[in-house]
Amino acid sequence: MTRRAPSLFEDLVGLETSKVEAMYSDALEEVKTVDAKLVDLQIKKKIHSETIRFAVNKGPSPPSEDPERTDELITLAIQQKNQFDLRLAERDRLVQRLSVPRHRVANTLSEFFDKLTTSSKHHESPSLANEMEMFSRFFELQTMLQIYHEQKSVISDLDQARRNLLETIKAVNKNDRRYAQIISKTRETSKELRKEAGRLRAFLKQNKIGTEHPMPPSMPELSERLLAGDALSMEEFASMLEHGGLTELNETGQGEKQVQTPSKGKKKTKAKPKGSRKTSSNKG
Amino acid sequence: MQSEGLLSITPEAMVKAILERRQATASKLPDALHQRTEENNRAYALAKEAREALMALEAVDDQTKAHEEALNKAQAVYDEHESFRRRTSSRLQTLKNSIKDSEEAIEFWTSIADGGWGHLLEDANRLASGGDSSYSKSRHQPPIEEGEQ
Repeated sequence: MTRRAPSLFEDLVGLETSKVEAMYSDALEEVKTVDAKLVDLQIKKKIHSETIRFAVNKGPSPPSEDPERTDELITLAIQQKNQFDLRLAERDRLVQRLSVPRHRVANTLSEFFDKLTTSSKHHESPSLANEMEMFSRFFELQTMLQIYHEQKSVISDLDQARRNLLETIKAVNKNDRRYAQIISKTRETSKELRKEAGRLRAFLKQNKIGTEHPMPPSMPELSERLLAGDALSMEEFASMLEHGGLTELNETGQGEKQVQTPSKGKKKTKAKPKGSRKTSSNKG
Repeated sequence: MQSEGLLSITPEAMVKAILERRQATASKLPDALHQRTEENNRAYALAKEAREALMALEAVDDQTKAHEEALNKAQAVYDEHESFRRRTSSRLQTLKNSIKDSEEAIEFWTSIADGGWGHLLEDANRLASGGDSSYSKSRHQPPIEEGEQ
């Protein structure tokens, strides 16, 4: 590190302070822009993920409508899912009403017809009671077959709705993965920009110029997700509480945080065990 | 027959087909009855003869081995003929029941063809008017709990 230190500000040495300050302001602006882009991307990705979950019945409801961020594909997917659900309900109603699959209706119909009209050595001649039962069933099954013919479109429409939804969801999934890649790249960019802004700030500080613009807090992934309105797991929440992730989200608390942060040396000398009671220090 | 063809069958046509089959079967029944009656009469006569022979041997007071053998043989013949008689009697009764059933069936289907369908087309009509099938109704029927009368 000692070898790298002299070359850290190599390009800044000799530049006018005002120019470095301008560079620092520009860097801060860029950081803010990239962070805003990250939040926007996270929201878009969340909408895509929720749409996929809704389409595969893992989510109870479609993502909340956000006209600025919801693209046509998402709207189409939700429409197609609702249409698929309608067709499915229609098919279920038909199946529940008839209760016998089509192929079995056709087979039994043919079997009853043979038994009622043909004398065969293969089966005993039915009794009058059996004939009456088969006669009644025959015409019920005949009506069922007619209904299956009339409702042919229910099955074909359901198949078509399923195919359409599948194709759209494939496209949504592709976009979802694309967003994940863009988020990852943008996060890298944000990291680089922060690094540069930090370097400029350190240079200005070193030259005892100081700056009125403090560095914006870093935007780790959990913060982005929180700002995007995403839910966190208990582990993630506990981790944020422990490491102060929640305070970073509060913009007004930024100044306070800087004031409250104790110096490293002081922290080391305290060496107070975690979880010890306050009263113990009074006793000593 | 293909299911498409079965769709065009009317209840009247079905009744006609049932009656034709019934009448074709019924036309063979008198001959069958004649054969079965003859067979049963023959079996009855054989059984009666064997029984009389056995009773005659039993009436003789003879302790010899030859008499005992003759008695056993008569018993075996009687058992065989009696078994045959029972079988033919059962077959004859079955045929008589078939004749009765056939007569009733022909009478029933003739009356159905002339008059209304009664409850026979009840399920089909309910289904055609948008109701549930009898299969669906029986499947969704709540089970009868014990003690609930």
